[in-house]
Amino acid sequence: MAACCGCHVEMCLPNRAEFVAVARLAVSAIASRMNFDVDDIEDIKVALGEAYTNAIQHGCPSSACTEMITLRCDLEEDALIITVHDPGDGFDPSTAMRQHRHGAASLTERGMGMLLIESLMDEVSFCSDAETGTQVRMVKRLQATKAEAR
Amino acid sequence: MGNTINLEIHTRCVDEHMAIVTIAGEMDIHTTPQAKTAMLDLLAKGYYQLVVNLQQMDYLDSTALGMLVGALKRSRERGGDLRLVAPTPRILRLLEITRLINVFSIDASEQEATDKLMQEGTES
Repeated sequence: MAACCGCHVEMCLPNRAEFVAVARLAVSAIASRMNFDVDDIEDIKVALGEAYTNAIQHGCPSSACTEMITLRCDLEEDALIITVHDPGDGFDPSTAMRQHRHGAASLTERGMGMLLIESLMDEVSFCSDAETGTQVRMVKRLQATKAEAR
Repeated sequence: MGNTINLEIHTRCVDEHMAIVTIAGEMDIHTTPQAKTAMLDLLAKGYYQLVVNLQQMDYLDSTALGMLVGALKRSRERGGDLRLVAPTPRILRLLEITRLINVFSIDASEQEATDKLMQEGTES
């Protein structure tokens, strides 16, 4: 994948649930070409799926919404950086995670997505405001890089 | 995109209150409503002792986990229970991260799950 190091892939996908699987397939193919192992690819798929799902649910709640969700993958030498951007007002990810942590014992049905993203990726950041929308940036490092860091 | 749903759901009734639901494929925001409908149908018909076989489940996300939690709650509200059978290591990992591993009862086989549900039914 050295030839592609430093390049990026960007896709604009519809704000529709049936395209989450398309996004997962695309990102897993990129991760596979970067030589991520099977477990890491599965982690990336779940995290991406959760970020896309959040974008659909919070980025544009109206079913008539025609805004697109932007998915960008930056292929670095030692990491894959995935950014999911939606045009919505956003939400407070820390609140969602707190709700789940406090609510697990009482069987809460929501708020698990953010927890999964945080747990499965090496680095996660959120940026949200009414003017620019919401952006989730997730980093997954290649295992060799993780080993060197230890 | 309508014909690309990668999810199969099979239900089998064991007795008047117990049913086995086998879910195979990928359960996400797009496909989970289909599974939710199947579970709610069973609960509405009085099947509140549910066994959910996840052995052939390739992918599952937080939407699907939320649906399973909802079905568990509804079955317990009716005095029943919901047990998971043979989740893959990947799904077990997600259950651990979300701490739902402490919420669901997990069995290695359908037989084990149905036996335990029958035992629970006798004790209650």
